[in-house]
Amino acid sequence: MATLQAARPKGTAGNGGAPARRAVVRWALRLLRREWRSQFLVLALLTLAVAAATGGATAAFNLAPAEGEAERGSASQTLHFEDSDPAAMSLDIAAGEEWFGTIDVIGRRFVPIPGMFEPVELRSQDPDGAFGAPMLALVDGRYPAADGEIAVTDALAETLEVQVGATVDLDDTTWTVVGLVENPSDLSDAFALVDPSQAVGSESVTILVGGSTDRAQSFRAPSGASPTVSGGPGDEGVLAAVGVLVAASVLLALVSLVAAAGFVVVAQRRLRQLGMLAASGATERHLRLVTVANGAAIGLIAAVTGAALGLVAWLAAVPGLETAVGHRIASSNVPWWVIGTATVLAVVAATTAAWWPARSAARVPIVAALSGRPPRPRPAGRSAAWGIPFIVAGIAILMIVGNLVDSFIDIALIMVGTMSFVLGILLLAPATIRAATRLARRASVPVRLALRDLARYRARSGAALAAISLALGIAAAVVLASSAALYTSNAEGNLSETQLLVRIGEIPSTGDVSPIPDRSQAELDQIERAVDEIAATVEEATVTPIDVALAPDFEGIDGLPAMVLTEEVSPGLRRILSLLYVATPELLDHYDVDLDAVDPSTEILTVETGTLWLEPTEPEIVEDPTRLSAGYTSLPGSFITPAGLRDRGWDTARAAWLIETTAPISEDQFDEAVLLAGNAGLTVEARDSQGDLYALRAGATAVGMVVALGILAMTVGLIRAETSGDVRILTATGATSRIRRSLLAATAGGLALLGALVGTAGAFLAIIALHARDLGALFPLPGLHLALIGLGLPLAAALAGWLLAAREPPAIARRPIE
Amino acid sequence: MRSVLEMHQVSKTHGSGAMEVHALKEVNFAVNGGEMVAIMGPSGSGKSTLLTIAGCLENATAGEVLIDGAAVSGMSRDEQARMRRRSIGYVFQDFNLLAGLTAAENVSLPLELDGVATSSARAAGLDALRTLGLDDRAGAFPDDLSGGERQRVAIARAVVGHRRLLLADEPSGALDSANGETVMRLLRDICRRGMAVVVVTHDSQIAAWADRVLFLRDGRMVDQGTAPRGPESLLNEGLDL
Repeated sequence: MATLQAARPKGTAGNGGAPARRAVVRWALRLLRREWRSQFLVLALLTLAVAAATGGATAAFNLAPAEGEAERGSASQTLHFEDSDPAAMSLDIAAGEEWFGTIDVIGRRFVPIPGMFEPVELRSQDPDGAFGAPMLALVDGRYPAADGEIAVTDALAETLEVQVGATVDLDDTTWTVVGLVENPSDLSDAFALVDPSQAVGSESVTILVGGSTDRAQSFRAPSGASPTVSGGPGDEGVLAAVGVLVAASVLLALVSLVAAAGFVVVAQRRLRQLGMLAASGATERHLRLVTVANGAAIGLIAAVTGAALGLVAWLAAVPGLETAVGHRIASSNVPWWVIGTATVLAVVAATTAAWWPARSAARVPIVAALSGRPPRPRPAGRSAAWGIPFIVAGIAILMIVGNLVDSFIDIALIMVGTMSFVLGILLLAPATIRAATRLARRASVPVRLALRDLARYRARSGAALAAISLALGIAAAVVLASSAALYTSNAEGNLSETQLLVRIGEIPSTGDVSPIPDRSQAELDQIERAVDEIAATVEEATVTPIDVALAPDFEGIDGLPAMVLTEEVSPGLRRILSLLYVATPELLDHYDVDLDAVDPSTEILTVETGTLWLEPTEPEIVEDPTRLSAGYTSLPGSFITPAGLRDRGWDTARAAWLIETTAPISEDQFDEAVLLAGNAGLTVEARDSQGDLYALRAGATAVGMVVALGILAMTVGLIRAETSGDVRILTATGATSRIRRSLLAATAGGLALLGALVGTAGAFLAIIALHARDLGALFPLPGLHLALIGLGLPLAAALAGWLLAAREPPAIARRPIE
Repeated sequence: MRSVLEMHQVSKTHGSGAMEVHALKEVNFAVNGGEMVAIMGPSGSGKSTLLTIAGCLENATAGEVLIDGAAVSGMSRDEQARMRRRSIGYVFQDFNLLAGLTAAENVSLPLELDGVATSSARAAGLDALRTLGLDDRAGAFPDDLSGGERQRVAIARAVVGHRRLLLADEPSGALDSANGETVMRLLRDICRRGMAVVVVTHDSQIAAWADRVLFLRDGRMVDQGTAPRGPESLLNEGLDL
C-alpha cells in the first residue's frame, strides 16, 4: 500500500496525467461502443460530408486539367499560326525546332459536309509526338500512315455513316477510314486524323512546345508571322481540388453545427454518468475529455468511412463521369493529400463540435448531474435573437453577389453568405418549436403533448430540427436553383431546344465576308420548298424568314452583307461581331421588343456592347443603338430597322429561316432535317446539348430527397426514444394504441413539417437573394418537387411514426436502463 | 485525536427571494476515524445535502467543512476533485457504477484518475474486490451484477486507495434485507480499520449499526446520541455468550 501512495503524483491540482486521460478515454470509447446508435445521425452526416469532400475533390482534381490538355497536351506552351503558306510554314517549324528543341506540330484544315453547318476538321498529328499524347488515342484500327488514309472520331463516323475500312469523300478526295480515334481529353472533339506529313499544307498550324511563356513569346518566326502564344497548363487540378476542399470545409463546418447539437444530446444523456465520474474524483478537464474524446472518435470513424465511401463512389462514377465531362479519366489518379486533409478536417470538425457541449456538461454541478437534471435551458428567444442578424447578413451578402459569379471572391462571398444564413436558420429553429406549441393549444392530446415534449426537450428536438431543416433546405435549394438554372440556360446557348436554324450556305462570323449571290425567284422558291420540307419534319412548326442587310455596289462588289464591328483592334482592323439583319416583329419578339414601339430615330438594335461600327460601306459609327438583352448566340443579334435600310439605300437578301416547334426537337428529327438540308444545299443548326439540365434537375432533386429521407428516418428513431417516457405513462393511464400511434406520428410529422417549413423557407430566401436581379428566373416554381419536400416528407414521417408506435412498452412501471 | 470530518456552522441555501429554501441551518458535528455516524431525519430534512457537502460534491453557503483538517471552502474545483479521489469514498443508494467499465475498472477508476499507473491501479482494485469477496466478478460489467454485488463493488471503489472518509447515502435502500445487512457489515468492518463512516438512512435498523445517530429536521440538527443496541451489538453479545 505504501507503494500505491508513493505512485501518486504530487501536483497541486493533480489532474492525474496520462493514466487519468487514458482511463477517461477508455471509458468514453466504451460508451460510444454501447451507445453508437444514438449518435448514428451525427456519424452519418459527417460521413456523408467527408465522402462528398473526398469524392468531390478527387473528381475536381481529375476533371479540371482536361481543358488544358485537350488543347495543349502535355506541352506548356502553344504557338498558333494562321494561314501561312507551306514554304514559310516549313521554315517556321524548322526554326521552332531549333529554338525550343523538342516540338510537336499539329495542322488543321476545315472542309464542309453537305447539310451540316459545322465543317469537318482534318487534323494532322503525329501519334508518337512529344506533347500530343493526351490529345490523341486509338480506339480501333490503326493510325493513318499514308496519303488518302484517315482515322475518324466516333461522332464523325456516325455523322459520315462510316466505319473502319470504308471510304468517304471529303474535300474532293476519297479517303479510306483506317481507324477510330479520340481526343482523350475532349471526347466531344470531332475530327478526322490524317497523316502527320500533311501538317504543312494546313490552314492553321499549332506547335506544342515546352519551356516558359517568356521563352515562347521571344520566338521570332523567320516568315515574319506572329503566332498566338497560349499559356501552358497551370495547376488547374490542384486548384480545383483545393477549391472543393475549401467548399468541403464549409460543408463540414455546417455539418459540425448539427453535430454540436447532436453532442449536446449525447452529453445530456450522459449527465448522470458524468456526475458519477465527478463523484469519483474526476476534474472538469476529465469530464470535458469524455465528450471531446467521443467527438474525436466519431470524427475518426466518419473520416475513415467517409473517405472510403468517397473513393468507392469515385471509382463507381468514373465511367459515367467520362461521358458527362467528355474526357477520359484515370481512376487511379487520386490526390491522397486531399484525402488526408479531408479526413483530418473531419476529425477536427467533430472534435471542435463536441467541445462546447463538453464544456457545458462538465460545468453542471455534480449533485444536479447525479440527479440527471439538466440545467434549465436558455429561452429559445435568445438563440432566435442571435439567428436573425445571421440570416439578415447572409441574405445581404447573397443579394450583393447575386447570380453573377465572376471571380473567386464571389464564390467565397456566396460561401460566407450561405454559412451565415444557415447558421441563422439553425439558431432560429428551436424558436419555431415553441411557436408551433403555442399554435397547437387547442389540438388533440397526442398532438399537444408531442409538441410540448418537443418544446420541453429543445436541446434534443432542436438538434433533430436543425438536421432536418438543413437537409430539406439543401434539397429545396437544389430544386429551386436547378429550376432557375434551367430558366437561365434557356436564355443561353446557341438555340433553344425547340428551334432549328436553317441557313443558305455558311455565314462567316470572322474573316472576310463573301458577297451573297443574287438568286433568281425560281431558285428562292426551290429553297423555300426545301425549308418547308424541313419544317414538316417537326411538329406544329412556325417558320420565320431571316433577311440580312446588303450594301449594294461597294467598291465594285455587289451583295456584300452589312456587318457590325468593333472599334479598331489594330490600325485598319476591326473585329466582326455579327451580320446585320433586317428587324421584323417576329425576330424582335425573341428579345421582348415591339418593333412598332421602337423610337423612330433608332435605326440599329443590337445585343453587342461597346462602341460599334458598320461596314462594308465606309466605316460608320453606330449612333445610339438600342441595346437588346443577350439571347441565343446563333440567333440574329443585330438588326437594322426598315427605316434605317431605306435611309442608306441598302438592299436585303434571304439568309436563313428560324423554325420553331412546340416540343423539343429529337435527334431523329434533327438527322432528317440535316439530310433534307444537305440535299438542298442548306445547313441546319440545333441546340448543342439538349436535356442535360432537365436530367441534372431531376437527379439533384432525387439525391436531395433521398438524403433528406435518410436523415429523417434516423431522426424518427431518436424521437421514438425521446417520447418513450410519455408513451409509458399514457399506457399506464389506459391510452389505446391509437393514442400512442398518434403521439409518435405527431412528434415525427410535426418535427418533419417544421423542418420542411424552416428549410424550404430558408432555401426560398437564399435563392431569392441570389436571383434578386431576375426574380422571373424562379418561375414557374417546381411545384411537384417542393410539394414532395414540404408535404410528402412530413406525411412520410408521420406514417413511419404511426407504424412504429404500435407495440406496447414492455415495462410500463420502470424507467429504461441507462 | 483529530476528526476526519468536521462541520462548523454549515448552512446551505437553494434559490433566492421567494424561492429561497434553507436546506441546512448552522449544522455542527464531527466524525473521528474508526467511528460510524448515522444521520436520520424525515424526507427534506437535509440529510443528503449534508452528505454531498461533506463529500465535496457541492459547497456550503456558509460555515466551514474540514476534511482531515483541510478546509474545503478555500479549495478550487480541481483540489476538491483531488480530495474526492484521495480522501473521500462515496456509496450511493443506486450504486452509481459506470456502465462501460468492468467491476475492477470501476474500482480502480479513482486511482487512475489520480495518476496511478493502470497496472498498479488495477492491482489495488482487484485487492479491494478480493477483500469484499468479489474477485471472481472483477471482469463483469455492472449490467451483469446483482444489486448486492453492485453495491459491494461501489463500496470497494469507495475504500480503494486508503481513503479516510466514507459517506454512504441510503446504502441498503435498493437492496433486500439480507444484502442490506451484508453491506452494513462491510461498512462496519471498514470502520473498524480506522475509516470514518457517515451513513444517511431512514431506517432505524440501519442506524443501529452506527456508534452515534444525528437527527435532522428542517435542516437543523435537533438531537444526537448513541445508537440503540443494534444488530451488530446483539450479534457480538451473542458471540460473547
